[in-house]
Amino acid sequence: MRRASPMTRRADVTARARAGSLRPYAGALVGTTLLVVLVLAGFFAPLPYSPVSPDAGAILQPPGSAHWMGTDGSGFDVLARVIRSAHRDIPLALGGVLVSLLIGVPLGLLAGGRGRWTEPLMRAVELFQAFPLIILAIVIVQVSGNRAENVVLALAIVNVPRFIRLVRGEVLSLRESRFVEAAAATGCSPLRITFRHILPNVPGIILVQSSLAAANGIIVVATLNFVGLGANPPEPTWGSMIQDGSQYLPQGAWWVSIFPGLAIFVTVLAFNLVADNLEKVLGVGRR
Amino acid sequence: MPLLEVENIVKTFRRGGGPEVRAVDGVSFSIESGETLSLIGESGSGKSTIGRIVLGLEPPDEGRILFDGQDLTAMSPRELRALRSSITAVFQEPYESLNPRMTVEAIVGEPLRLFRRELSAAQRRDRVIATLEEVGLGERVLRRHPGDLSGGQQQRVGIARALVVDPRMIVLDEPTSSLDLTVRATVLNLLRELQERHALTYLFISHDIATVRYFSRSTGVLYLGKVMEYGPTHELIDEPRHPYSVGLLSCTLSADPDVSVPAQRLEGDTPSPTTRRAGCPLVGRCPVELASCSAAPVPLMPISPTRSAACLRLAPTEVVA
Repeated sequence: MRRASPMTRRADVTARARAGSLRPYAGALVGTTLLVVLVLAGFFAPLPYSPVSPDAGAILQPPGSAHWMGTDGSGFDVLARVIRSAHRDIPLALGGVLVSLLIGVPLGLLAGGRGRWTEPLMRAVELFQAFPLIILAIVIVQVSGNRAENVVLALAIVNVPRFIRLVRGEVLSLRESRFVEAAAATGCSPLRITFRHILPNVPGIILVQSSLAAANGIIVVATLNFVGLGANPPEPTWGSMIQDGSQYLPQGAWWVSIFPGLAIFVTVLAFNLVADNLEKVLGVGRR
Repeated sequence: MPLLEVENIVKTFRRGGGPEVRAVDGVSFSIESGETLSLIGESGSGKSTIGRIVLGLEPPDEGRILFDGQDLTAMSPRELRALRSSITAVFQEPYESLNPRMTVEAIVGEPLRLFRRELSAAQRRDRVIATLEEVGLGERVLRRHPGDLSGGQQQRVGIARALVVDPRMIVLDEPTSSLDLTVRATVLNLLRELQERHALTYLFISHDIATVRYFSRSTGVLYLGKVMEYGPTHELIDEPRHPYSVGLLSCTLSADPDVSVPAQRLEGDTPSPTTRRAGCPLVGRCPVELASCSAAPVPLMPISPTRSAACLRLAPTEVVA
């Protein structure tokens, strides 16, 4: 989607927001609250059973009054593990976004300049994006070791090219704007134009993209865990729980993999809720 | 000596390997200190490009721009930036020409930060407030953002930004074209007052003949990057001589029933600026065309002691012969 002019659109949206619609604010608030609750529960919720020590006497119990979400093939309580996973999976996804921002935003700003090497950089980004990134992420964690830092690194590699392109696109469109021309006519140096006039107008779109990248990060983390990477059993993760539960599906024990799947669904939904509504509140376009 | 002398500037653009566009094709003019020169023309006539070149935002391909005797085309980017305290600009679309994330104080204070570095923060603020008051805004807008202001207020902020460093000349690029008629009049009055009080020189770029008549002493009419006619504004508007000026002015309606509108229409539309012509750019649309018009470029020639036009029909007889 090409935007006619970032400024006029922003003006329209602010005007509409002023006209009284508070729904975007409510939506963003609901999404954020949901995420905060999930993470806090992952860390502090009093769990009825230990998520890491199984009860050998209660194997593959269906959901019931003792185990609300049932137990798995080793006797772990599914509810305890679904909740506990949030304290690892969500911060990992957020960490991946943070590292992607730290690398992608400065590179995007540079790529939006007129330097000689911006073209080679953008070609490299395209080459990178042509590669199936999820496979790249799997290879990286496989090769560099099964640690949290490497999962974050893998997430960064998936997201950095997107942030570079996004920031560059925004910078290029702002560079054409009249207020940047006016700043040049006022006598601002190119450096001052970049940092005082262009950069402060970029965060909105970055915020939106960050929420989307976090949603995607949850899925990437789950995928890595699903193929047995990035987690150390018996420490629970949603991805490894789905994988583990899939072997009991033929016997009709659906609860082992469905509940962590639902947790992923809710978390991704919450991030998307934040992204969509931030987009409306801030009046920025998404690419 | 004129404050600004523009000598035979040419600017050619080429978009993505497409054909060349000669946006400005050999334009010359000069402005005396304290005077106003208007450039009028339709969109695509090159008037805004001329404004950008005079501001030093874009180098011309050919020609010279002398400001107070210094040649802008020979300056380094750093020297050009230093000149921005002497030539400033007010743009059209005030909302888009103000950074939406900056406060009015930051916007108007920025030129002072760049060019009056000896000022303390408090002195700078006093200066900003004084300038805002001069353009009819007060201290109360200091902390506002452009989006909080009306179109007229936004353009006053734009004018304050251009005025705050005490420039000698201001390029006004259609400063009122996006404003309501009532606001337009007050902004134009303000610009005139400021000109008298600060002995400012204006280059006024417009497509609106009524505004130009009100505003400037002399006017140049542009068409496809060339000056067609030049002279005192009231003479040029009351009695246009060049066939293009006649056609352009006959498109505007007069509120005075006694003023007879010259009933001369130009045929067809403005041709694509990519087409290269050997002769007069009006060939093909001109009602009084001669065979010799398409042969060679027609220079701007004096047609009276105060006026000149680029038309063979109006030329002194010896040129045609």
